[in-house]
Amino acid sequence: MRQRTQHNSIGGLFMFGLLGLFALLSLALVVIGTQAYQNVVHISDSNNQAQSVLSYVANKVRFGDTAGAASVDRIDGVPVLILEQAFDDELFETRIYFFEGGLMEQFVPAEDEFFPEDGELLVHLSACAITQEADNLIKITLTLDNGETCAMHIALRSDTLSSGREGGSLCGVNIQPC
Amino acid sequence: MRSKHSTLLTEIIIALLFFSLSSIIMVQLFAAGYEKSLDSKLSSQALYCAQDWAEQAIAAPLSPPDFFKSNGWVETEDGVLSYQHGDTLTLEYTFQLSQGNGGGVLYTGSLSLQAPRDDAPLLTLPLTQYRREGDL
Repeated sequence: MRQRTQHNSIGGLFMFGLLGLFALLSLALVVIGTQAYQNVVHISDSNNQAQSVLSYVANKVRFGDTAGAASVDRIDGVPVLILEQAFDDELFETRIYFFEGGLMEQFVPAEDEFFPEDGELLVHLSACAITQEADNLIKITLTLDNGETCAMHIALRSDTLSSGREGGSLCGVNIQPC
Repeated sequence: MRSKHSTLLTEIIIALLFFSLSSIIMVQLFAAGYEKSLDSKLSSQALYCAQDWAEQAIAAPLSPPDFFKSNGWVETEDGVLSYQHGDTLTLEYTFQLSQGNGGGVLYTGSLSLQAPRDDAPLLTLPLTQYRREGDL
């Protein structure tokens, strides 16, 4: 009788152990899944942040790339990418600059004073440097929230054309499908 | 009593087996998802890297081959210019010269990026530039 009770308790313990193992493995799987998901989101976030900022600024420059219209200037110590556009004989400026942890943009008449805090926040960044490396070359360097740094050069086609050299073609990127 | 125990035990063992199989599939899925996101990041990095070089080549006062050579690119035996970007990417610039009607030179070429584990290029970016006679 005693032996039978002992045998029963061992069997119960074994089943309890199996259930415990089941619970532990479930928990481990959830933890692994969470980490994998976090990694994927982290990679995708940083990728999207860099892509969207660089593409936005590059498209802005290309859109406003008429002779002498795009330049980088330092106003009140802040490096500002200035894109000039004329509407009805009045000159307007799109100003893109980094101020207090964010990339800002403002569209104002050219004669307006520069108040960096009045700009519209485009995106939060750790740092951003906009420099003019040559008459026809602008460089944007971004430091993302996760510390990653990425840089991109933008060639000004209009300046290239006005100086007598023909512009190049960059169309038709062929990306290997994943 | 004994029969009840063994039924429960069998049920738990079947559940564990099913769980193990599901875990294997799930872990493989996580790994595949992670790898896909890394591939996606590499692709966009490659695109920006190629665009960056192409933009600099277009803005430079030199012809594209001369610009690349003056910026650390190495010419291989078959005339291809090659550059190692970080540990992961290799850039290659292949080009052909043709005489334009106006006396200038047309550089028709492409920038391709090669990832270490793939045989085919990750991307190819056409880079064509015309230089007038006086600019060369």
